[in-house]
Amino acid sequence: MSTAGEDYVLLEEPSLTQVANFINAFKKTRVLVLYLNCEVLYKGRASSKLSPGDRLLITKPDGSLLIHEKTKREPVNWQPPGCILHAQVKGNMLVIRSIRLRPREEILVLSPHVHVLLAAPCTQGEFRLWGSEGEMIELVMKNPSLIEPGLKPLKREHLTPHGKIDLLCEDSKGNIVVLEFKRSTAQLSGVSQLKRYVDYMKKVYGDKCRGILVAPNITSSAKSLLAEYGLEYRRLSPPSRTGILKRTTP
Amino acid sequence: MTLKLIFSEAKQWKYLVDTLSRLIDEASFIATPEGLRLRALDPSRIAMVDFVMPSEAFEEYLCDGEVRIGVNFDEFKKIMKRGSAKDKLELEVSEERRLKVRFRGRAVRTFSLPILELGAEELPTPRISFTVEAKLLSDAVKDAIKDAEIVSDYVKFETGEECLLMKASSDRGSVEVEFTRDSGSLIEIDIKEPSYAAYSLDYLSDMMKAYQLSDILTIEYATNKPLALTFDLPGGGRLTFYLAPRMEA
Repeated sequence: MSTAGEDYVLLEEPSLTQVANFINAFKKTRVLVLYLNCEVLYKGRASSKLSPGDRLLITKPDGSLLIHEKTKREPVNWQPPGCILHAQVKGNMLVIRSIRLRPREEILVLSPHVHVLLAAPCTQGEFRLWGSEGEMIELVMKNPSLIEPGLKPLKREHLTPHGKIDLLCEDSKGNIVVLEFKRSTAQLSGVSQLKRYVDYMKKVYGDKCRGILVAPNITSSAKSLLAEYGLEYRRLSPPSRTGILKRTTP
Repeated sequence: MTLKLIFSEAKQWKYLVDTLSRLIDEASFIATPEGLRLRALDPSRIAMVDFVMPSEAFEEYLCDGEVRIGVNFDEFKKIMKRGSAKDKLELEVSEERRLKVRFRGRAVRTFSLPILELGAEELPTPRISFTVEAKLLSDAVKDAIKDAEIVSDYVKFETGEECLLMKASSDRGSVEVEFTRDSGSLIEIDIKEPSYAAYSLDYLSDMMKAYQLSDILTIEYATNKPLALTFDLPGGGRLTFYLAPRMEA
């Protein structure tokens, strides 16, 4: 039974041959969603086997493959964009193969029965993100006094051997100030990240160097480690829908 | 009789026509309500092209009878080359029997070219009992053909234990390419009996220009019989090349 809508196709209880032909014909143009009984084998950098059961399988025109179970946000098996997909019927089994070339990884889906197949064109729109780290940085660059009076921004994304410094500033007393931004609660890892940058800057520019962790919140352990290292914390939340940052997905 | 087709990606057609133009000088597309097809021999009658694209593969497909569109592929290719990545392609046959090729992108560009009235000889589907059928990654085969071209002008296909071999040699040297499941280039292979045959690299290399149309291809052949090279196209279309074997002395 099939229902053809505007441009999507829905097949209920399709035959395995129907599914294989459909996948091969539309893998490059449609998002395909299958609700099917299957077992999944993976080999590549590691190997895995997923026991037979009912799963949701999604393939996208860019070669991505996702296999979802009943729970969890992450798929149980997946392949990134750029993989090669092929479906065929062998005996009474549908065999869907997804091959990643470099590094070589292969997912093999064996299905004796497909309950539903949905082929949907899907759109690719513009993606806007609010409340990102980038936006916090832009906010501070425009209003450095949010951190402290007299602060002057010098450079964004300053490269060090230990990573990029979010924002490099100078304070009113001529100290170099390293700012590390976190969009949510700052953790221990953020503190050590900041320490690495400050240590590096001290080595290069001398002791007149401060480090400030900027985040909407901080864990108590992170706060005490910060104090131990002689670093500082400023509370700042990502702007909410002000100063919209645009990111366009290709 | 009206004919109007819209295809969402002009780029696909650019690759398709480019490949066909390497093998065919002039041929007719035949449009029917079911879809578009073309079958033609190359001038030396060593190779045959068999192309089918069902109406579902098009974004819009209006055809109320059988329409023959004879084109000179050299000219058609020049026009199709003008299609850019984001263009849609529209093909239309006008009242005056001209083919309108329209690219819809940043601008609407319409080309018009004369339709050739070519002989209506219908070529039969070749009947060959293939003994080997293999599905391989297209770009791996393309590379193998380039490898073979370094030393020779023909290549031998051979079967091994669940694998396919391509060998070329001359007094300049030799090369052997092995396709196995483990190396990843071989997706499926079905060997009914050990088979070997040699084919011209000139033709294979022209046919392999179609690798951009499909990441997987199917090779079928039998000992000293023609070879069939099939590319599955998006939307359920198919492009098959047949190539006569080169008989060895």
